[in-house]
Amino acid sequence: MAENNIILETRGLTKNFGGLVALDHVDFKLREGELRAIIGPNGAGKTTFLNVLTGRLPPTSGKVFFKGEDITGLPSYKITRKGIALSLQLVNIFPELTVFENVWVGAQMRFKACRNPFTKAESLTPIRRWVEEICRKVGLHDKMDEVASNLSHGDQKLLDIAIALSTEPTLLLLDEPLAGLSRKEFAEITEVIRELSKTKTIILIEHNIDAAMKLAHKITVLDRGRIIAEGEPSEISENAKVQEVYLGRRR
Amino acid sequence: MKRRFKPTLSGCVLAIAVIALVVIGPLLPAGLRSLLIDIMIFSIYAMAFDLLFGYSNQFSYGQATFFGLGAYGILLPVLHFGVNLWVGLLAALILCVVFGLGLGFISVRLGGAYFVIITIIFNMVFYLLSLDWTWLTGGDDGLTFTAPPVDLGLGQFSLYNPIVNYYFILAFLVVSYIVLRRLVESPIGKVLIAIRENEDRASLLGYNVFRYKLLAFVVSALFTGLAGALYALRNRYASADYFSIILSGEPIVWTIVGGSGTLIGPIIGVAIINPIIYYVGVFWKHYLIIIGLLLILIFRVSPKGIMGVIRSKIMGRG
Ligand SMILES: Nc1ncnc2c1ncn2[C@@H]1O[C@H](COP(=O)(O)OP(=O)(O)OP(=O)(O)O)[C@@H](O)[C@H]1O
Ligand SMILES: [Mg+2]
Repeated sequence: MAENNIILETRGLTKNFGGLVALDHVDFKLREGELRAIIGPNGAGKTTFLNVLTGRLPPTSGKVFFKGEDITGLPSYKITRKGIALSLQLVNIFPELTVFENVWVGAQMRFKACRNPFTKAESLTPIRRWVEEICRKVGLHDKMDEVASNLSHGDQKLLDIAIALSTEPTLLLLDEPLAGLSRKEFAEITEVIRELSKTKTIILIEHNIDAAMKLAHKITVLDRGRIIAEGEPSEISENAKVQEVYLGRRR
Repeated sequence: MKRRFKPTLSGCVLAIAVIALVVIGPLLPAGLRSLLIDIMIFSIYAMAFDLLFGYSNQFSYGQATFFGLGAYGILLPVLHFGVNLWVGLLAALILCVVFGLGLGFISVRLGGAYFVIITIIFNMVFYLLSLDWTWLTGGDDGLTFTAPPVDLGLGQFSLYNPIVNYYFILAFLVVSYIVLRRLVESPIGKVLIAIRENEDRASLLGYNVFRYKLLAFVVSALFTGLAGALYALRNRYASADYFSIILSGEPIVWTIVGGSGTLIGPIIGVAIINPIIYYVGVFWKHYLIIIGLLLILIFRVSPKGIMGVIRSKIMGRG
């Protein structure tokens, strides 16, 4: 029963913006534990795909299933609670709060104690430990008291991932986490993603095809809203269609 | 355990301030005591506004709606049904929660710039209705009533005694502060702050942003109504003016001067602005110039208000 460990599935997922077809009948399946890269040229619909998956945009038609359950059309906060976390293409953090406070917000989601309006947040030691653990995972543990807006771009990206992790998702969606980084930051975040993929299912949107090849188990190529190829990294690099629309266009 | 959240003005300083207020109460000249009572009532109003604006980033220009509702919410039952003080207060608070839910549902749903406009419109509607429905509100002339005694089980105290009145209001201020402080330091408060900082991210984390904002709206309505009820009690009077849009603007000034998102800041704002009105306003009708200059000064020196200065200079954090 290979179908059993399919964690995410879309059927005929379509999104139109007026006359523009951003997603065109996308049928997509993701296995539990997989690290899947989605690549494709600018405007291919990668971000739109994640936005529709997470309920930030309603699909025009089609369905999304998570762990076998139809989640199409649920508001995004409900989808998050089911265990899907999204880290956006543009850094999306709480700029005026410290690293610790940034991660805390999502961490609260995990703990029942937080439903009591009159507990002092600070006294909730299990949450504090969890926040510290997350910060350690992404390598921000020695910057926990720094205000987020003062961090370097790379650290802000890491913080964004940490925030996404704080809700303890089973599926992590990362929209171009490696874009616009210095060489050192690139290596750092690549390592973090590799480490995370040992315990989580991940969809990684990536512009840099080499990075995608190195990290992913499997690659999906999107062009003008359609999946034009899917397979192991080696298959993708040899695929003629991919070379034409993606690699070709880049050169 | 190391503190990791931003420090607030230490409880110690506040406790000393409260003890000082308790001790000096009976010693004060009547005029000053009366001014302090006003400051304390408006401090509750200011904190209620801060919860809404400073913690959940909802800029209301219509809070007087709830100030007026609170005032009439206690006045009318006491006047017409002779209920006791606690029943009257309860009625006022329930009224404010009910209207807070209703008006909040609409204005929070619309959100953003609409929120400001809708709160103004609601305020105008209530103001005009209260002017018009003189049979209910007394309109411009207002209604007077007899303040019921404070019955604590161990004896009755008359609010007509200015010192009783003073302690009565002080007690409500302290309780309001403690409740609101606990709320903003609870996990709910952390979510409100997160919504203020980045609403989109908060909802991405699984929080129902609408519900949290509505909660802030209703709690703010409740405490604004409490301030209104206390003000009516203290004056034994309410009129359409309690719904005045000018009254909706005042907490904005207090909060800007004192520093939003701090609870204490807006209280400091009241304590600075109201004496200016009280002492300068009586002999110089252009006293608003002083307040205007003060606002400009604050904007130039410390956009985060007086609490911003205190936090960065004394506690080493912005
Ligand atoms: N909210 C929107 N309204 C209208 N059009 C949109 C919207 N969001 C995306 N689009 C359009 O949909 C198409 C797909 O955009 P999308 O952002 O999903 O591409 P992408 O693959 O993420 O590209 P990039 O690599 O630049 O991030 C683009 O043509 C874009 O202009
Ligand atoms: Mg994109």
